[in-house]
Amino acid sequence: MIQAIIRYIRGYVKIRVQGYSPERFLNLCRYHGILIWGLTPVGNAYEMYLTLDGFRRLKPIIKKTRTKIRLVKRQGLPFFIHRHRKRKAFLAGILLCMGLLYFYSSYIWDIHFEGNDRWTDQTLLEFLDTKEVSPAMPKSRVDCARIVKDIRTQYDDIVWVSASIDGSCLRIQIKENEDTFQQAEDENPEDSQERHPTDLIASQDGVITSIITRSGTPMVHVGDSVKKGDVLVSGRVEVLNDAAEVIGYQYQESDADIYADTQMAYHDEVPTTYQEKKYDRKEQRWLFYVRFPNCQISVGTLKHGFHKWETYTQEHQLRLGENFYLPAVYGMAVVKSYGSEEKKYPRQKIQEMLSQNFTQFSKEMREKGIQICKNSVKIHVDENSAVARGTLYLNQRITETADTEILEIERNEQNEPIGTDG
Amino acid sequence: MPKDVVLGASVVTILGDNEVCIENYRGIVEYTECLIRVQTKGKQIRLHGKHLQIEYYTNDEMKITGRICSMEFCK
Repeated sequence: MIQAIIRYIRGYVKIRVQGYSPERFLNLCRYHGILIWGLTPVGNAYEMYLTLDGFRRLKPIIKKTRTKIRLVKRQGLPFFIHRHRKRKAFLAGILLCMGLLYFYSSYIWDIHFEGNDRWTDQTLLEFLDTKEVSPAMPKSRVDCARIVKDIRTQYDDIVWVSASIDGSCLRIQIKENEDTFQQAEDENPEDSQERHPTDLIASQDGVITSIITRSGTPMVHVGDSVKKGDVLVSGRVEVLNDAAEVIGYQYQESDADIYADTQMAYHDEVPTTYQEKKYDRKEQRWLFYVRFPNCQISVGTLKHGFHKWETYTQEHQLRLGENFYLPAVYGMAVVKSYGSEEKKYPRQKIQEMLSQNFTQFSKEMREKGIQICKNSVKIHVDENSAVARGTLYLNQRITETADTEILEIERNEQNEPIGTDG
Repeated sequence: MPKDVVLGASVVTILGDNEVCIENYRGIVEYTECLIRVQTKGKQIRLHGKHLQIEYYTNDEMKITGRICSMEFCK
């Protein structure tokens, strides 16, 4: 490829060699170091490509071998320039193009961010805009050190910034402090330091299968049946004296894992019919447009008299590179006419839908940590309805928190007089 | 010392049946679309084939492309 480009720039010719012994001509060219390529036999002659320099050195060889040379084709940049030497406007266009290329390459056309997760490109762009750094600014006005300093000053959780100019792109690499995310999460528990005593109560009826208490007084045992609202773990811990009498209470936040077997009714109904849309390919209206802030150029129309229709619109904003948006929008809108027809699902499809719904429901339950031990769900399909119903036998956490009742101890303390001797 | 340098033997590299590179040769004796005869030191290389074309021809090396059917060395 590179060789072909070099040959094009230097120029080359295609010649046809004819004579008594063209092979001798080839061998002499080789001997004199004249490069030949694309050699093909054409009848009694040979056609080949030579460089311009090689072509100029052919004269003595032609004389020696008494062959005839015919120039078939001239190719390359020198011939192109020679051919268009009188086209002044063309030359001016090339020069103007090169000049504009040089001129525009002295501007920043794109700002590229790397390594930012927490702060979006848009936020950083808006911030840079306030510091007068934006696409379409001259490169000479870009102060990378200043940009780095500004970003570091503005954002505490950005620990490292590098700004560099890469062609017409301002590349900003950022390293965020990942620990700040952790800190923010850790702050939450501190907020709730003012804890108040709570009980754990049953959120629904069930039979306890497992109980692990971390704080509080457990009020139920494995195998107990509980009703909704029953206290499972009390946040009130009794303080006993030597005579096993309650002399006070300590209150705390209850914490326990309590699982119970519960039951739940399952009901799912799907429609047996659906509306099928039939699009008419001939009944469509198209509109292509380019919109500028003050005007819009469009081709096509959206006017129609359809009974039922859908409209789709796709719109894109023109941009240069990644982040330099131009004030122009292009897009297309299409209006599609359709007719609808009520159709019935086949029985098998309905069963599939209900099964799928149930599988999805089971999956969601599992994700919530609820285990389905057994189910008696059955699908009933008749003419007008399709229902899946039954009972699910679950094993799940049944705790929810409630405030602990604060009890006062009736103290029967005797105010014994303090005797003093003397 | 390499044999091709000491003995002046030609080096022929055949790639599949459509490309042949020849080094250490004296010159072309005959060249048509279906036969190429290349003179080397002492012997001649004959290449039979179809649509034979010389990609490049320099002082050190030549490359022949086309459909190669056979190659032989003869006096």
